[in-house]
Amino acid sequence: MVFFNKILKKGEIIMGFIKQKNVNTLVIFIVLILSIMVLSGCVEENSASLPKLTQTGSSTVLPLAIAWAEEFNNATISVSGGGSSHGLNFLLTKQADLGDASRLLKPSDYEKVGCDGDLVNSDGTAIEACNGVLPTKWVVAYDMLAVVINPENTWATRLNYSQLYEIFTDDYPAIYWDEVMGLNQIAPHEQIEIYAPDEASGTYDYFFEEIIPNWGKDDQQANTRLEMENSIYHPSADDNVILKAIKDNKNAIGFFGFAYYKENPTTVTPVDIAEDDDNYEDASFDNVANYPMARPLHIYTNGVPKSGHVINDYLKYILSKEGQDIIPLVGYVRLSLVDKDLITNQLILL
Amino acid sequence: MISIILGKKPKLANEENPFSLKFNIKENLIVVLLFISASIAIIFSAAIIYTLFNGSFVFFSEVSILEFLTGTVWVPTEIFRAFGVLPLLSGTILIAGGALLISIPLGVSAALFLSEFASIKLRSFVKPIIEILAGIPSIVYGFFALIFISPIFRDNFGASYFNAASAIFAVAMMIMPIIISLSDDAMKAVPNHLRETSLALGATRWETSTKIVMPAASSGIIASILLGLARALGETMVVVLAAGSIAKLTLNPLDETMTMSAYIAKVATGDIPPGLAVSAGFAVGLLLFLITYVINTIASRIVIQIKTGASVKSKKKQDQKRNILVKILSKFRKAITRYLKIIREKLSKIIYKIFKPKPVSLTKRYWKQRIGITLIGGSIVIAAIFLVLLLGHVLSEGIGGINSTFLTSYPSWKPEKAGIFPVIMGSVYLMIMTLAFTAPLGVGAAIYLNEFAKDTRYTRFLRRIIQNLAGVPSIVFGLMGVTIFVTLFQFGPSLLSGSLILTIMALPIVVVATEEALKSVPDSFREAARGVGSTRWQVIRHHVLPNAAPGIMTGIILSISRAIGETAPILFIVSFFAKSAPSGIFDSFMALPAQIFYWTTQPKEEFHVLAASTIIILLIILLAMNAVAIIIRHRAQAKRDW
Repeated sequence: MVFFNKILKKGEIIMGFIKQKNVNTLVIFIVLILSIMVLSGCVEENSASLPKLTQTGSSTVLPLAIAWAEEFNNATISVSGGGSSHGLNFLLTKQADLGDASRLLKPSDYEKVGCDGDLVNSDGTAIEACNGVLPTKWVVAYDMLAVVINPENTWATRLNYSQLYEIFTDDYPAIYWDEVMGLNQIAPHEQIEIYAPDEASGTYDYFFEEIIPNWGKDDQQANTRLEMENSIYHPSADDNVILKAIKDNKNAIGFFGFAYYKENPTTVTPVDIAEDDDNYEDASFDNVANYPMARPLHIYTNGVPKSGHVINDYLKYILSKEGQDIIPLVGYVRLSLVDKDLITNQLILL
Repeated sequence: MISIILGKKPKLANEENPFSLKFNIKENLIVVLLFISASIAIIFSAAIIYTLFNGSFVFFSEVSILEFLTGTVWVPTEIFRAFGVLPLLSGTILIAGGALLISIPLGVSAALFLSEFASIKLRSFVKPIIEILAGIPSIVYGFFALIFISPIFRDNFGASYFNAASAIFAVAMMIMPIIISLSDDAMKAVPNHLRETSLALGATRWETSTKIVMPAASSGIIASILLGLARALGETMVVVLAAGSIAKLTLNPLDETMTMSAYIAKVATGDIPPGLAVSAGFAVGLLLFLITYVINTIASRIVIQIKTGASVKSKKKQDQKRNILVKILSKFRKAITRYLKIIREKLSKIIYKIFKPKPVSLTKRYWKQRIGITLIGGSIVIAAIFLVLLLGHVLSEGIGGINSTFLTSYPSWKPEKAGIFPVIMGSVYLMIMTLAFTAPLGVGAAIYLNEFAKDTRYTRFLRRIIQNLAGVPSIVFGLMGVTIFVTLFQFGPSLLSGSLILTIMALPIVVVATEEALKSVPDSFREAARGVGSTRWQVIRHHVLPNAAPGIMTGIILSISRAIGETAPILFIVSFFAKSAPSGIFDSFMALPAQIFYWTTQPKEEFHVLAASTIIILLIILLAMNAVAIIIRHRAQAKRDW
C-alpha cells in the first residue's frame, strides 16, 4: 500500500511540473511524444526502401515462408497465414503477390471469385487467367506426415494403411489396442487415445485423404473418428499440444508434420508406415521418396514472373542451395531428396 | 469562410456585435459535425449486421434454421454436413456458466467487503488493482490457462489434455473484476440513510450490509453479473488456447469442448475450404451476436433503472399501458403480489410457531459478523492469489528472455535471434491511429448526446446502438473487419483496417466515459456562462470541456489500452512476419497480442519463453497507460473545487 502511494506521489511530482500550465499542456506533451514516435518511425522506414511483397496462405507453409522472407535480402516480405484457400483467394483478387498452398488449386477457388471452375486442371494449374491473374504453381518443398506414438509403446512401431484405417476411422473402429488387426498378440488390452490435428487443418485433410478411399467424394468410404460421438479423437490446432499429449499418454497415437517430430526427436517415436500390407518405410528425410505420407508444398504466383523482377529473384532464391538449405531446419523436406529434376525443371522457367 | 462559399456577405443579427451571426454559422457547423460523429455508430452497427446476414446467407439457404438450432451434432465438413449448433451452445454455456459459478460468489462478496467494510486506504489501494486486472488482455489469461492451470487438472483430476475446466477458471478470473467493480459501484450508490436507519435499529454492520444494502443494490449486482456473462460468452482467446476444438454435447468440465466464438476463430485462421463451413461461421456469429445482444439489453435497462431511479419507457410504451389487456394483466400482477404477501406472512407465522426462535444473543450476532467479514475478506485474498500466480508465472517464464536483442530484433524463425521491435512499433502505430479515429469521434458523439441532443426517439435509438456496440463479442468485430474493411473497401489486411476495427471496439467505451465526465460538470457552470452571453459552443469549449478533460482523457486512455490488448478481432488480418515496422497505413502489420498467440502455438519451448517475454512487454505498456489514467483522475479529484 505504501508502495502504491509512493507511485501516486511520484506521479504527482511529475504532474506537478505541468500543473501550472493546466491540462492543455499535458495534451500538447502527449501529442508531441506521439508525433516524435511517428516521425522516428518514418525516418527509419526511408532508409530501407526495398520493394514490398505480401505473401499469405497455408499455415503449413507459414514457418517456411517466414524463414525465407527473413533470409531473402532484396525485398521486405510480410507473411501471414489463414489457410491455403485464403492464400489462393488473395492471389486471385490481387491482394497478395504470393499465395502459399499445401494443396493444389481447385475449381472451387476459381468459382469463389466468379471464374469458370472448368479452367482449372487436375494438376493444380490453370488454362486461362481469372480476372487477369494466372495462378502459376511452384513446388518449393515437401511436407512429411509423421504418425507418432509414445516411446513406451512397443507394439505399434510399424503400421500399414489398413491398420491406420481401423484406428482412425469410424468404420468398425478398434477401441482397444489388441483389437487392431495384426496386433492381437503383442498389444495390451488398453484403450486407444488419438491426439491429432482438427478438421480445420490441412494436415488433417491430407492424412485422411491418404487412408480413407474416395475422401472428399460422394462415395467416401468412412468418416474420421473425430466425427463419431463420444470419440477418443482429441483434436488440436496446435501440434505442440498434440506432441505433449502423446508424450504423457502411453496408449496415445497421433500424427503431425514431420517438423514437430524433428524438433522433439526423443519425446515421441515415429511409426514406420506401409501403404500396402508389408512394405514398411521408416519416417526420415532420407527415405522421403519412398515414404507414402509426403506431399508437395506450393507457392502460387501470378504468371511466370519476368526475369529481373523481385518475385523472380525470390523464387530463384527459394530454389537455390541457400534457400533449400533452410528447409530441413524448419522441419520440411528439400526438393532434391524427392526428385532431383524438380529444381532444374522449375529454374528453366525463371 | 462559410459565407464566402455561400457567395454573400454575412448578415449580422446585431450590427453592434460583429460576432452575433458569424458564431451561429460556426456553431451550426459544429453541431452538424457532432451529430455526424454520433450517428456514425449507426453505420458501424449496420455494417456488423450486414456482415453477419450477408455471410450466413449461403448457409441458411442450404440449412434450415430449425436444423441449425435443434441439431445435436456439429461436424461442419462438406461431406458430413451436420450443422446442429447445440454442441457449440453447450460448450459456450458450460464455460460461461462455470465461470459465473466461480466469479459470482467471489466477486460479489469481494465487492461487499470493499464497499462496506474496507477502510478508505485499503479501498484506494484495491480499486485501481481491480481496474488493472480488468485491463489484462484475454490472450494472457489464455496463455496462463494452457501453460499453468490445465496441467493441474490433468494431473489431479484426470482431465483430457484440453479441458473446459482450465478455460472456466481463466474466464472466471477475467470477468471477476467486472463483477467486483460494478457491484461495488451499485452498493456504494445505496443511500447512507438506509444504513444509518438500520444501524440505529440495532442491526450489526453485517446484518445491515447483507439484509439492507445488498437487497437495495440487487439490480446493480444483477446487471454486473449479466455484463460479466456477456463478456464470458464472447470470450475467444482463452477458449481457443485451452478448451480444445471438438464440438461435443457435454457439460463435463474435464472434457474438451468448443464454444461458438472458438469456431469462428477456427474459420478465420484454419485451412477450412471456402463453402458451407465458412458460411456456418457467420451463422454462428449471428447467433452469438443475438444472444449477447439480448443479455446486454437487459443489463443496460437495469443499469439505467438504477441511475435514473425509475424505469425508462418511451411514450409509446406508456400509451400501450393504457390498453385494456395490459390493465387486466397489471391487475392480475397486483393480485398475485398481494396473495404472495399474505402467503408469506402466514408461512412465517407457521415457521415461528414450529421453531419458536429464541432471541439471538448479541455476542452470537457479533461472532456471525466476524466470521462473515473474514469470509468475504478471504474472497479478496483469493482474487489477489490469482493475480499473484498469474503475474508470477508469466514473470518467471519470460523475464529471462528480455534483453537488447529481444527489444531490437525482428521476430525471427530462430528463437535466439528473435525480437519484437517491428511488433512493438506495429502496436504503437495501431494505438496512435486508433486514438486518432476514436478520440474525435467518441468525444464528439458524447458532446452531442450530452449537450445538444434533445430527448427524441432518434437520440434514444443512438444511445441504445452505442450501448449495444459495447457488448458485441470481439470476434464478431473481426468478421466485420474482414468483410467490410479488407474486402469491401479494399483496404487489405492493413494497419488502416486494423485500427478501424479497434476504433469501433473502443468507441462506445469512450462515449460512455466522456458522457460521465461531461455530466460531472455541474449545470451551474453552463448556466453562468450562458448567463453572461456565451453561445452554447462557447460554453462547451471554454467551460465544460476544460473541466471534463481529465475524465475524458482517462476514458480514452483506458479504452485504447483495452483495444490494444485485443487479439481476436485482428487475428484475421495480422501478418506473421515482417522485418521492419509498417511505414504506411496500407502496410501489413503485426501486433503484440497476435505475436503472443503465434508464439504460444509454436512447437519450440524457446518460443513459449518469447511469448511470456512479449506478455511482459505488453503488460508494461498497458500498466503504464493505466497508471497515467489513474494519476490524471487522482489529480483531477484532488484539484476539483466544486
